[in-house]
Amino acid sequence: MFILQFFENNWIVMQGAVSLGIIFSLMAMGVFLAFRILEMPDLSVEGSIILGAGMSARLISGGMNPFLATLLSVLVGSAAGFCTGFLHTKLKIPSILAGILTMVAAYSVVFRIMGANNVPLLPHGPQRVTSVFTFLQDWGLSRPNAIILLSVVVVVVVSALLYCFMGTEFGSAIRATGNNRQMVKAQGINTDIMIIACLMLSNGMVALAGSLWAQQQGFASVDMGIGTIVIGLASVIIAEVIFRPRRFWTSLIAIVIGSIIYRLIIALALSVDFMRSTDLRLVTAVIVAFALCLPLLRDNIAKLRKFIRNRGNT
Amino acid sequence: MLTLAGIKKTFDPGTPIEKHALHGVSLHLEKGDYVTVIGGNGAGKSTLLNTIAGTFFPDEGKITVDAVDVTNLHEHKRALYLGRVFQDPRAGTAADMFIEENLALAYRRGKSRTLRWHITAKERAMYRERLATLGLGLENRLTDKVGLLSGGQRQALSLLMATLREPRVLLLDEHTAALDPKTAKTVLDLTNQLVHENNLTTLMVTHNMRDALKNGNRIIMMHEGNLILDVKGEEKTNLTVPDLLKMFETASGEEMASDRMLLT
Repeated sequence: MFILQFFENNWIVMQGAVSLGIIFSLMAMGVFLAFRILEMPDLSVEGSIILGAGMSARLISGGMNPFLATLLSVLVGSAAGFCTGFLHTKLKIPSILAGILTMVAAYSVVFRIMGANNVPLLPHGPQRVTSVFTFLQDWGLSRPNAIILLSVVVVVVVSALLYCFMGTEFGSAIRATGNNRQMVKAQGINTDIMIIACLMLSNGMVALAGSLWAQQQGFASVDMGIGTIVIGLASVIIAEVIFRPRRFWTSLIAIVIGSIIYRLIIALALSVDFMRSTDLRLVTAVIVAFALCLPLLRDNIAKLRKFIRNRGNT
Repeated sequence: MLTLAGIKKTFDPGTPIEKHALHGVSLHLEKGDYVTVIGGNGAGKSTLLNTIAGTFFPDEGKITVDAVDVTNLHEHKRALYLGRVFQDPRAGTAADMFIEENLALAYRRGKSRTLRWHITAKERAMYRERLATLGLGLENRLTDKVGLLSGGQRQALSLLMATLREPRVLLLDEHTAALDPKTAKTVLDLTNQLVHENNLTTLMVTHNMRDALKNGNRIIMMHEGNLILDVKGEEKTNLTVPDLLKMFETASGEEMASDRMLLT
């Protein structure tokens, strides 16, 4: 009840949480591709989100068409994924380290791209923020509604494409690579190519999320990406714990909902008086730890119930 | 069909754990040869198979399959010619994918993976038919995840996958060793059935001397990285386990150690 009341009283907060949740579901899907499909912990995600955000901010503030800027941002994210994949497969660097190397390098690259710590999207003076959402605002939608509408469309299109791709011969080979590299090689598939392709896809999606995020909040800053990986994992784990999806497409839907739930939990947690916005990452870490130990908790509660019931009988 | 010429392989050269796994092994398999490979632990049986499959490259020597030199081809490129079944039933299949998805992956062995859908309706019918020949009821479980199957079922599926696209050479690496005796027999019978029906050139490593004698038309024995015995045809048919042990002693100059070979 308290929760419902809170969101009723804070309609704007909730709207913001939902739109961020939708945008970040693209990132969570990217994390899902690396962690669950490829079963490879890829930390370069932290780098590709700011690459996407920084690239978009710089290009759009420089006057480029926002759609083209978003597309280029995705390509930069994919390039980061390629680097991680190359380091891991061709240079035989352990996957976690390969991801960290790309992430660290990405911070320097983003500085170069943005030329400053913080780049606003305002091109000329105090006008409206130019972004991919602008054309919907021109049609008469409010900015929050424009953001939600377009993000939903993007998420639906991207996840439909992703679903179809994973059903192709190529996608099927990627899924198998995450499952059993030995078997995949025996079937004549070059696992290196599959790993690199999957990381490019995953980081491209993360960069897309970063790009939309920068356009949603109206600026990009170098430090905005810190903790991305944990947010992505939080969404994926919330989705898995609540919905227990068995198929690929149910996983995708669950992740979108999981990502929104995560944002709502954060909004709720930060609304408590003594909490500050900088506590966000602490709250995230606690949520992930809690979600990860839920199965264990569930078991113990079941055991406790059984114990109490048995004691009542004797 | 398969020719090995002077294959040498040393693991960890120049270190205290240096191991000469293969000492210049030469072997030629005719089309349709069904060769069983025996030998004690560390004799080099698995190294031999893995060298053929391309898991690693030999230090010296040449491998040709059907007149194609594959010595320097990567594992995934050689897969075009080879069907493989591993000792670990989990190794040959993708556990989180459906039975039909695993078969579809195998059906495209050696082909490039395109953006076409991973399976067609026609294939599905064919898989159902082929699965039915296994007699394990898998034909009704096309969309079950392979991880739900028993070890024997997974090994039978691996066999089917290895032969779905006819391989020039079928490599079986102790593929019944991890199964219980009854299941092992079923999988071995199935192996014979598939090999004979398709007249497949086969190399089967086994720890079990009786299996090695009973199956195939040729038997080779390895010891410390060398081929010490190669018997085929009628001579092989008349061989018994005591004969084999005696031949081992003469060839290697030592008594058969009390390893797994004796116990089986």
